[in-house]
Amino acid sequence: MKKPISDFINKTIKIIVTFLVTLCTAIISSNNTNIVYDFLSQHGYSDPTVQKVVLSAIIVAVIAILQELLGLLYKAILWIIKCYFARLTVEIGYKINNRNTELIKFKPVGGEYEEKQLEIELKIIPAGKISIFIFKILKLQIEIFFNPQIIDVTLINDQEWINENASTRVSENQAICINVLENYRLGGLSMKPYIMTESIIILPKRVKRDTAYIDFKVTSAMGKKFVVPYVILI
Amino acid sequence: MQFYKILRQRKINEDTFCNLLDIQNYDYITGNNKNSFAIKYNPDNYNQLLNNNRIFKEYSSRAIQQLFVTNQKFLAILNFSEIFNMSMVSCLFVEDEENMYLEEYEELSVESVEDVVNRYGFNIKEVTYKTYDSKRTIVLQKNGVIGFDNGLTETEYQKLLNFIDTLNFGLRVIDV
Repeated sequence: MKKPISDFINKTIKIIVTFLVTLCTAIISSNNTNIVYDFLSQHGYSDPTVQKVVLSAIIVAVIAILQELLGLLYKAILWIIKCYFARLTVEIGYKINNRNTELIKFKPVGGEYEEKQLEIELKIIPAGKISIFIFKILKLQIEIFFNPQIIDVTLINDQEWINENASTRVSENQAICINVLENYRLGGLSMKPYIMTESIIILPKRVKRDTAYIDFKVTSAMGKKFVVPYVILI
Repeated sequence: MQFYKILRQRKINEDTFCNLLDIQNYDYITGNNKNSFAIKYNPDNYNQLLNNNRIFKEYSSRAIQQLFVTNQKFLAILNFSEIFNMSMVSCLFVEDEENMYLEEYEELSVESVEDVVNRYGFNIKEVTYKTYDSKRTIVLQKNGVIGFDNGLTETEYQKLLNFIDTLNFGLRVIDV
């Protein structure tokens, strides 16, 4: 669908350009005392045909240059948008005992599950300055949760519990909410990626054969990339 | 000794889960805050209760969360044992099955427990306390199960409820 649209736009531009050239030529040439005719007459070219051809050549050149200038302006705007509004990328990885994990299994021992410790690793790749600025103001937050909600989550380092300011907390419905730009300072020149980790304890709500997937949502959605591990209860 | 599993109801506008436990004739205790409670615990009965789908539906819709006691919580609350009229008498670690590491210290204290945690990266499995007045035992396990002897004084029992609330809601309960 992209090609027919761009073909259509290109053809339309050509038609408009031809129309403008003809229109300008007609209007200017209908006036017998225009600057171009005067200039040509003074230099000995008084033949009306020559005068008309030269006039139309000048108009074509002026419109072509204008067209190029507009094209350049358009590209410049695109470039600015790309630089300042580029998407921020967040990659999410999960680790158990320092190993990347895609599957976590729980087996009951004496009618109970043993908890597992899971490390969530967020790699944040900053991009456009303006988009980061907007995200920071919007308090970009990543919510990681288990679906269906059969797992209880506890933070290893729970700032809220010890009554301190927390950039990561567990919400009412057991989602880990991470404010990824809380400690990011705006205005720096480096756009290098940085990594955040959060350790959690997961424990199923009850002993039952079930499966849950880790899912997440971004409160101000832009770029995202992730692996989906899942949990099996036996 | 009676064992109870500490739970917290996170959806606070709904009626409490305890009403449902009353109907089921299930034994429980509530903290000073009604969204913090503990239900009589042994793994079989507890699983039986939650494997009743109607009950589990009510359990989930109220966003009930089981307590898990991390090292951070164990250590923080150990620092405030006095507030709860009790003192630590023993501490077990998940990784130290023989229970040898703490014996190397001259005295059992929060500092020695903290040292083992920091030095070896061990996880605290359970802490046993003795109450000041009645000398009864209170055991807190990492899976949020609390056990206590019969015969606590009324003050000690109130402190125990306060202890459960603090574990659920954090240090803001005792305002430190």
